[in-house]
Amino acid sequence: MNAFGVDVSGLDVAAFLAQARLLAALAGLVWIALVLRARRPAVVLVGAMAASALAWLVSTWPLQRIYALGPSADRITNLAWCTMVAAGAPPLQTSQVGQLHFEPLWGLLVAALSGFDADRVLALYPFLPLPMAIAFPAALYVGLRPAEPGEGWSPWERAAAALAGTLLISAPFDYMTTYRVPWALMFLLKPNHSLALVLFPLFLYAFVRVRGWRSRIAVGLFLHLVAWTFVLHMAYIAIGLAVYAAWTLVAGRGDGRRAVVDVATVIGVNALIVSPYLVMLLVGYPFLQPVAIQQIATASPHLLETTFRLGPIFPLGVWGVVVAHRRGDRLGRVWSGQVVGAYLIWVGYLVLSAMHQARERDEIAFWIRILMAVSAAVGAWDLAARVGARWRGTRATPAWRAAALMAMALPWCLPCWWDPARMDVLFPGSLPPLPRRIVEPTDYIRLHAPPRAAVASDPDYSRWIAALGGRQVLRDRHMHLTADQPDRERVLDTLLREADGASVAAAAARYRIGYLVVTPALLAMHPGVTLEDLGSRPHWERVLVTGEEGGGDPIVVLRLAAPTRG
Amino acid sequence: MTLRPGVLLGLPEGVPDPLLHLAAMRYVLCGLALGWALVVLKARRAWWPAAGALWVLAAVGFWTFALGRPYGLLEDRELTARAARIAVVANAGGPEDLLAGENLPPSAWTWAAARGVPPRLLQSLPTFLPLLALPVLGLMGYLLWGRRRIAPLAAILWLAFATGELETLRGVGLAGGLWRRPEAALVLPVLVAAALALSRLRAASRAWPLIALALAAGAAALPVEPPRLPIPDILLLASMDQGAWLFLGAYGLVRRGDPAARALTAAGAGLLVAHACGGPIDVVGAHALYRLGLLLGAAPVVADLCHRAGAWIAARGPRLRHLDPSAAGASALVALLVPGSFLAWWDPTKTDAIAGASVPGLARALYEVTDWIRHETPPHAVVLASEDYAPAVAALGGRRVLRAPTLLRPADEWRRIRAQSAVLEGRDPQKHVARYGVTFVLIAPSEFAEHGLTTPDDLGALDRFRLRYRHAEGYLVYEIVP
Repeated sequence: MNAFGVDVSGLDVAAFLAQARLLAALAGLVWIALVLRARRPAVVLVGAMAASALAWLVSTWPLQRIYALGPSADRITNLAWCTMVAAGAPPLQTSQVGQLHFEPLWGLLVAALSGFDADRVLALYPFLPLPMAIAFPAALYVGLRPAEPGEGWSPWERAAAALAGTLLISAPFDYMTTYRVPWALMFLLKPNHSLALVLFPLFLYAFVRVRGWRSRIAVGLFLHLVAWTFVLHMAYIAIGLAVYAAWTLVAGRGDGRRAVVDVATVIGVNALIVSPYLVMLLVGYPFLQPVAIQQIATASPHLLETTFRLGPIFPLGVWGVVVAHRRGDRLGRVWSGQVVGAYLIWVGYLVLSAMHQARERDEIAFWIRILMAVSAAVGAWDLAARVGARWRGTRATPAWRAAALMAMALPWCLPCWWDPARMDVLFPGSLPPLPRRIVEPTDYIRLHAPPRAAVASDPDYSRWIAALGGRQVLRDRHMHLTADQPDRERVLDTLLREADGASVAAAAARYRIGYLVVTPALLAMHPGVTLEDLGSRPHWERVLVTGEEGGGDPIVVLRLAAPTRG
Repeated sequence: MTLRPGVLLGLPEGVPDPLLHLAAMRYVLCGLALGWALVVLKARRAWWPAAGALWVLAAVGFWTFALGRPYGLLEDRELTARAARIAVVANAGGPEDLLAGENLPPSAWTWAAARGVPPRLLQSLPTFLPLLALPVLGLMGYLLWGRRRIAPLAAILWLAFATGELETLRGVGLAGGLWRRPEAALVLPVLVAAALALSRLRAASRAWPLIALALAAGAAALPVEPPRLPIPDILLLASMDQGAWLFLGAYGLVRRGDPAARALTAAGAGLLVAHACGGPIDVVGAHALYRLGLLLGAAPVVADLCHRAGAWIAARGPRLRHLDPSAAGASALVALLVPGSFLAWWDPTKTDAIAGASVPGLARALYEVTDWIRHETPPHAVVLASEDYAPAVAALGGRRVLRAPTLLRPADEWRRIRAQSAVLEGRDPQKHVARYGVTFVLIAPSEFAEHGLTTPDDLGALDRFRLRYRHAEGYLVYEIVP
């Protein structure tokens, strides 16, 4: 069954995807015709939203499990944050019991959307990328509205920006490059990051309208909301704002002082609220430890990845930034500051790479792709107006200009070439349903374990318990190490080896552990421990045994009984 | 001497490396593209295509020389069989195919090999042909197109945009497609040159359909290779995959019709239709003509746009006023679009499984063993080798083999299997020597265990097997003596 409850086990996926691309091309032609007929920018915007929805549908329909659940550790972690909170775990903690969370808003939001029902989270989760994919172009359209009338940023231009910012951020051969397909990784894989993207244009909308201290503080609070959603996007925005303020000051504009005060207040309010939490994160997470793998990939021409690698988007985007900045309005200058700030971060990664600190390069790469695609729309709209002005006659209306640009862009729009079976490494692994050895024990945990109970298991299987069982775990190999990692190892060893029930209960109580899920990997990691030994101890109650497919070793769920002296 | 393409330039093994040197190559290509733009801005127009050809040479050359063996050798059935036939005809002579007792199918490659063209040259040539064909196409666009004023710009378009992302995604890209289509790499430039030359005749403005017909007939004769695209794909290929060139080309063809552009486009479109209808037409060749025609049709429109853009640039300041508007516009076109164009970012090792598999070189031991076979066995010798090594014996050693099931399965395959068993188990090998002429056996470690041979040396215990060659890595060659 897919997310819609339809049996797709017999679906010819390759044919389905090929037909979807053909449909997208035909729909694109109809879209252009509708733009010419209706002559309203809303048609461009709605079409962009529909195209984004189509790309989501095409990528989701053939799947018999949640997208990337299994092929991507990130996705399992992300789901875990939601199911756990929905089931009653503290929202400020990650899947590892006691560990402080770095993106707590998303889990709380999804849990609230599902009515704090973990089962409903699992049903809802595949649909979460859809509202993000639709909301982002809408947010661009709304967020780029000028603060004052007559400042450019016409509805047609904003509709073009919405189209480009959603459908032109990826290119057909992205899947072979270092950073892969931005649309899939932003919207399909990480809806929490794309939620921060949705907030970004709305933040700009609010920022350019700042008047006085009250609105400055309100916008600072808005920025801090972005930080709770995705801290890196907050950092990118803050750096972009700093560039805007510095640029305005250096350019000697009359509003330089106001820009500095606005930016300083917004960032200051944001930092004031978020900084204690950031300090805790820095203490709690090994962010600053240099790791050899955190370098720019050998095969990646770093300075070209976000410039000429983007093809025509780059020169058009540069032109768009020039156009936006030259408008002189606040939105244009804030926008150009965001683009320049993003590129400064990108260049800074050369230094970070030398320090083995070049983390999350893909996030800034995607951020730049989106900024440049939107800028390219601004640039293309300007060029189309210039060319149209030379075209004597009445046909160079905005609708015709939009139609001409759409016709040029249509082949490069995502749904027209999107073939996830070939271009998305996470898609093929998402086609088959989850195996029983994962589904049955996690279902049991979700349905029977007390909401606050934590589960101990092998560090790899634990992520499934957190994601599908909705319970925190002692150790998740795919999360950062906690400072008390040796203690956790000792507790796990006690749970497995200690025959005295009271000692086990005391060790378990420290991390609220109520269940032990014994997997073949767990036994292999603890030589000498056997299922028979564990089964013979009165403090462990065997509540579920799931046979491996093909008759392999079973996965056994044990519940910690009331402490007894053994 | 190995068959590694880099040997031609004296490049050491592993240079260029498609991973280690990739980033540097991208920077170099970007720099060359900007250099090309500078040439367009500053130099005489004759240098425009020359600089562009250099850029294409660098872009395609990196991947050509990154291959560790001729494209597809010992990886692709058809390409290996072609290489094997060339080697066998050149080294062993005679009318038989690479399998003893089979008739040699006629081909230009074996014809040339029989007439003394060095076999290694013929085996390596298909790998180098795209490297030559793509720049030659651009240069011919400049040299032969009748519209002399804008011919340099047309050459730029052909060099930079004759191959693109969308059609490559569909398996129809010219740059990657020519590796397995050496005939097309040789014939397409000739056909295009003929079309350009004929279109310069006065009658061509009316007779261009005849030129298109002749062009289509020539291209239709090219060998057909996969893929075979269904009708919807052909429709998308002819429309969406052309991107902006469809509009610019169509506008140019209608408003400023040029016979050469019309002939190329019509021939390509006709062949695409024929392909869609199930005709034996190679889709890469058909698409190449179509794209070249569209680009040629777009050239006058692009020239106009470049002139306007150049005039705008020249008006930006007194220091720019002296610029030739057309050159400035064309230079901007190259600077802005070429560094991000498909060839600059092409990675055939990821788009083409055979190219990826051709990056590792062949083992030194394989060259040494097959060199020995070629030098020390008589030309008429027939070698029995496992299905893993038989293609190498034919393609590198130049000797016919008893069986090569990964390349060919003749009608009497079952008889050859029995012959192989009889020879390897010592049951009257003379009979099979007589039928297929099997006189040598190449055996590698762990091979032919199903015939009771636990080590290659076990074969020496049988009557009439004389060990002739032993390689340090365990390969043995036995001669079957009377």
